[in-house]
Amino acid sequence: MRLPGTRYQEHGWEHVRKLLGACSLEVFRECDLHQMLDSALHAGLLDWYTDAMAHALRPVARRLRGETAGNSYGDSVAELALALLFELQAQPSFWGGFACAVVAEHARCGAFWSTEAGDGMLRKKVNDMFAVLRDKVDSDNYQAATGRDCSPNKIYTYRMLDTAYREIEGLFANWERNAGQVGAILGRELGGYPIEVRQMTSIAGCRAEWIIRWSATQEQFGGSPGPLHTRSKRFASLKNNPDKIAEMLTEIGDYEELSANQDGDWQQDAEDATVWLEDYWRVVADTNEEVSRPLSYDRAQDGAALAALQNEPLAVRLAVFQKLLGPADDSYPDDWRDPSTGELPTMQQLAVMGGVSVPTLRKRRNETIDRLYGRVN
Amino acid sequence: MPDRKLQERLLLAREVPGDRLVLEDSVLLEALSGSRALSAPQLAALQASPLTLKRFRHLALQRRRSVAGWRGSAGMLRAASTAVHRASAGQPGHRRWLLEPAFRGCRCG
Repeated sequence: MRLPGTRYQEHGWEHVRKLLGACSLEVFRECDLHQMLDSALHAGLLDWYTDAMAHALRPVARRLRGETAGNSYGDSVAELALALLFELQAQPSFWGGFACAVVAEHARCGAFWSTEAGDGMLRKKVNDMFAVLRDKVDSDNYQAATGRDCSPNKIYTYRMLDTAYREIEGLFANWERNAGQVGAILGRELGGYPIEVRQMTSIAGCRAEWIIRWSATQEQFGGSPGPLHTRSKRFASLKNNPDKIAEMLTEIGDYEELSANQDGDWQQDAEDATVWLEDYWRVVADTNEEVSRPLSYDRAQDGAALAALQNEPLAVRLAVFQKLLGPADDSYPDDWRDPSTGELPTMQQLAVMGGVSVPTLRKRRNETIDRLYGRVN
Repeated sequence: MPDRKLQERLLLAREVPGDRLVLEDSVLLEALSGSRALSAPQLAALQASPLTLKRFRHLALQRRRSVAGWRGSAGMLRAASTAVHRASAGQPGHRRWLLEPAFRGCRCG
């Protein structure tokens, strides 16, 4: 499924999820998860986790560059995984949710991570964290792209409807074998080839009542209740609202058609990406002129904090860039990069370069980042 | 320009619980075109909402692309070449209007 602005809603998500899960298990082997039980340590653990994950994901990203697309915008699976990792870093409450799940599981059955089923249980919790985060990121991106309100729940609903449509499409394709349910979906007896099967060429041609009837008949034909008819009542109100369903189906279909026809000229040019900052500074200046005195605003916004970054030693500066933009951003000049990898030096290398220990470098890096965000003065 | 990328990250990658779009598109577009500056409280609201800043970013880039397109920039030429491709592939002819302004732009610039 594609919607304006979204990146994580296509089939490639399965690969992204698996990659994040596999790398997480790898890095968690290096960590004593008992630390998770102390909420005072959560922030430090997130810092450690995002560093370790970025380190584990980079070789995968290099190996898979240009190979596995995770969506039809051409973002690779590894790029999407890294981007979501950076989102996690910026939105620590999702890490908090993961930590809560680990604490709750520990309360039920102790140090579950060292049991035989531990890997599976841990991977499930990692999956849940990233699954919720991707819907948050995509609902934000949808709002930025359309100007319309959205929520992670609404993204989840779009996806449920898209999945329901694919199920119906599959039933229609084999309508003879599924005549009972297809008849129930269409609301009539089938007397030969149903014309609706030929007419439904995309999700925009799928009628809301078919979705509702498909869901209603899933228990009978598919063995378990359909999404609109589960006991959880998550979508219970939607089943009485065919207009809402129809609107959402049409929106998915229209955007799929639009994005498929435009060959990428709806994609943003890389060279454009930060020119909007000039507009932003101009708008800030215009307001200041209106009120005829400079406003005081968040230090993060005015570039002063960024200027202060220039006074830090190179090792700290590069550590900051690595933490906030990743080790391989296109914007980095060649003399910042390690020629053997084409990426910024690792934290170990930067520590040697700066003549300090890795923990000291990490501490100075994090203090600088806090100043950049205006979290301390 | 790694510094600009970093500044963009600092503006946009912040967790603000309950963040939502706090300014109408019309307000942002007037500020972008310079026809009406944001009031001080509006600017404060924009700066406190990474989501609204992302919308601002989207509108700013869209506006720049459309301005550049009418000047016959690479972006519009690419759109035009896509349109040629479409036309030759038997796509609906009503999209051919795209050719016009871009070619006019070529002659000017």
